[in-house]
Amino acid sequence: MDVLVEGFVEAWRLLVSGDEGIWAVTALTLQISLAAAALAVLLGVPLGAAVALHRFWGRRLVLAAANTGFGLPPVVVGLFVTVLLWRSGPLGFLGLLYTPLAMVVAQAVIATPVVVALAATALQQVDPDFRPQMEALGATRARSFAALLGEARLPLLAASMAGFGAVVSEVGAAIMVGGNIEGETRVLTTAAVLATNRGQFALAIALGLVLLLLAFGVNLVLTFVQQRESLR
Amino acid sequence: MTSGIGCRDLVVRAGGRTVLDVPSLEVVAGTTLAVLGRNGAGKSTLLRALALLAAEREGTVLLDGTPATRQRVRTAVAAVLQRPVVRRGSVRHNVASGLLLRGHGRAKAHAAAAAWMDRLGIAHLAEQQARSLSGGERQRVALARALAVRPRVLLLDEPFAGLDATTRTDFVADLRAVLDDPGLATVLVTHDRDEAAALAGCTALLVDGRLRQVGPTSSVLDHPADADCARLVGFANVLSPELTGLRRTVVCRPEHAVVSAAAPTRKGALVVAGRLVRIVPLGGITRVDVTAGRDGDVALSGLVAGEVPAPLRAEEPGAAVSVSFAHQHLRDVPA
Amino acid sequence: MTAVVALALLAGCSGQPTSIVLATTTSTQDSGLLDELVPRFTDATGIAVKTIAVGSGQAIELARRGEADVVLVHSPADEEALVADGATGRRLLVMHNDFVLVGPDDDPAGVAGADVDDALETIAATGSPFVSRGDDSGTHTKELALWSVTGTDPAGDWYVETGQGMAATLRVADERRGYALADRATYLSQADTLALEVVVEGDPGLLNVYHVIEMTAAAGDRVEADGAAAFADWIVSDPAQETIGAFGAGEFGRPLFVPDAGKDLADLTG
Repeated sequence: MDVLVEGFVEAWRLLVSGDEGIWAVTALTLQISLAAAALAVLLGVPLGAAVALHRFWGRRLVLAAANTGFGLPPVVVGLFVTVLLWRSGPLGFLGLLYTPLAMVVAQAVIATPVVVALAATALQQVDPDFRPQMEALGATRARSFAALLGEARLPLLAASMAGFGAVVSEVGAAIMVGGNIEGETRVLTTAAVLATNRGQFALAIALGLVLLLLAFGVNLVLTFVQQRESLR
Repeated sequence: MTSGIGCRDLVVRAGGRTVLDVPSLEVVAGTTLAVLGRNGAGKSTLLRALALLAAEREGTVLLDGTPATRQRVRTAVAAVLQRPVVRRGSVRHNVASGLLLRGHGRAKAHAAAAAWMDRLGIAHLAEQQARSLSGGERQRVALARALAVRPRVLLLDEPFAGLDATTRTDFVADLRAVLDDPGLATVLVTHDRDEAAALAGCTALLVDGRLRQVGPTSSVLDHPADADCARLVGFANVLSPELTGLRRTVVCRPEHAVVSAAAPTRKGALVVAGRLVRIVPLGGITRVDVTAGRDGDVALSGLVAGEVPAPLRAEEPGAAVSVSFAHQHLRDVPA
Repeated sequence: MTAVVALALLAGCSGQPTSIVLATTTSTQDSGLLDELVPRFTDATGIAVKTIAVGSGQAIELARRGEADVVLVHSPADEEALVADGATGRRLLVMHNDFVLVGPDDDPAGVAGADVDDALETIAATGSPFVSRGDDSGTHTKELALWSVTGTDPAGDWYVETGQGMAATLRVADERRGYALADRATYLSQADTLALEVVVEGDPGLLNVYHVIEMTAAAGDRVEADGAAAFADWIVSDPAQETIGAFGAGEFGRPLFVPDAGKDLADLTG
């Protein structure tokens, strides 16, 4: 119990005092996970749309893969990406291993299936005649697609945030691909693991609380937007 | 070169089956063509094909007499699909969205939207969420949205589907005023001949994906080209030569068929013997269903205002009855 | 669009002119020593270091595959096997500390003060809980070597493998009221939150020796041999050795490591 109390006190102190280290780690975490989520959205929404709107060979395969990817352990993704990025691996020449970019790539791999599956569901909820009707009013295919995304913006936003949530809280891929290098690839989760290993429980709890606040903030924004929109 | 929309050798297949095959069709500016057909006849398919929306399409859609491109159709044509797909957001936003989708500015789109909301009587709903509207209001929103883009060709798919009688009467009247625009060519897809009669100068009858008859609405509705067309426009009684002893098949509307329990005495009428199936009160009018023919496989029906006469009312199903059709109400169709 | 910008930013901040990968053990990271050493090295040479703290087994495997440029580990048998592969450059003695056998403060097996061999035999014989790293780390390798000297096969209900780092393993030992082999540095850094005491120490068999091994291009085309050599040179230099010798004195009352550059391994054990 002492450790918990001490942890909360320490967490409060760190957060209130604006401890530079913890904010740097938080900023990096946000940067990496937002970039990964953005990449996952860029890949996942078109793919989810293709799956939702078109009948093509391999469509079920993509859906099944996306749904499997939902439960894909980040550490497995981390392992694959690590081996690919090894100097001796096929992408070794890029020199990406143990960089934030490598973490973005690995986390995007984790988040993309989540976004694909949720985006497909989101777009399937829209009337199948939506795009034909927009085109029947004179919209180009691109405009009708944009209108469709606009129509499904709330569930798509939820899909994006689920993607972000999946990566901001994962540690397996982050530590394997990033290497938990201080100032470069140390994010909230890996820092929390290290702090735990070092027996710095108060710091670990503080980091955990920051992570919790981050997740809470994201969900708060989502809930707020959803509530506001659904009232309109 | 005539202004308007049409097609040549238009064929649409789905799953290896030909669902639409229209060798030729033309609707000129200032006129409205009603395409009358049953469910599954290919009406919506024709409408979507004319809007270049149907996927597997062969042949040519003609816009102003020349082959239509997607680009030209986008600027000239507006279609309202069967279910009124309204977008998230206000009615004003919905009505303006056609112009916005075409890349016009916000101010112009909203000005046009305001004018059309006024004309279609939905101005008071402007700030409401379109998704919260009733079916009739949605239909008006969808129509205003299509008209706001000032199309030269308007394609309407069952705009009155699912509306109650009063709403529909008002809406038909409002639409009638809109369709009188001399620059507008309209294709109205419907299953209801009354809508065709009310709104369209010309009517085409679509059966199993093929146009069986095209002509002035009054003539098409009164002089069907064949038995299928006859049934489509309400000549529910189709009497083959076997049944009548006449040289040609004749058809007659139920409202002109009189079913009676006694032997017929009327002169100048074709009389067919049959057996009573049932008497169906429809509220204000009553329908009498009868089977006729050697095998009892010809279904006939008659409509009477109010209740059926007492002698017939007393009959049980299966009783011998006669159905008489006044000659002036019979129409010849090819066998 | 935002993703592209973010990727560009991220790519920018990792593009140091020279950077090497140091594969090392969790004990050096968990104790905090690396946090002292690495920035000083970077200041002195301008070479950035990506420190990957894993078990000694994985660290050596990464080096063997050319995925790391330099290793700092404490697993002599594995190190010699790596050197024998021929892809390494120099292997230099850096420092040592010692392992300690820790156990519950009431010492249920009664092994306090015994030789490490006798202590382990007694623990096995009495079936007292023993918590092992079980992760191919230097500490784990050392522990297995000690067991093999006793001739006892460490297996049974009493023998627990955590597969985790030193600190986590100590915590498990604490919860289970068991014994564990730990490096002194990690133990000391955790001692105030544990109810574990040192029961055996100072045995020559418990010496924990760290070597730095530089890799060469023979391990892989992309090995930064020059950077590796610079790190090896630096860590045995006087400033680095002084840092090592002073590390922990403030916090724990005594240094956690003994700098050994230039010494002979035989001098330590002898």
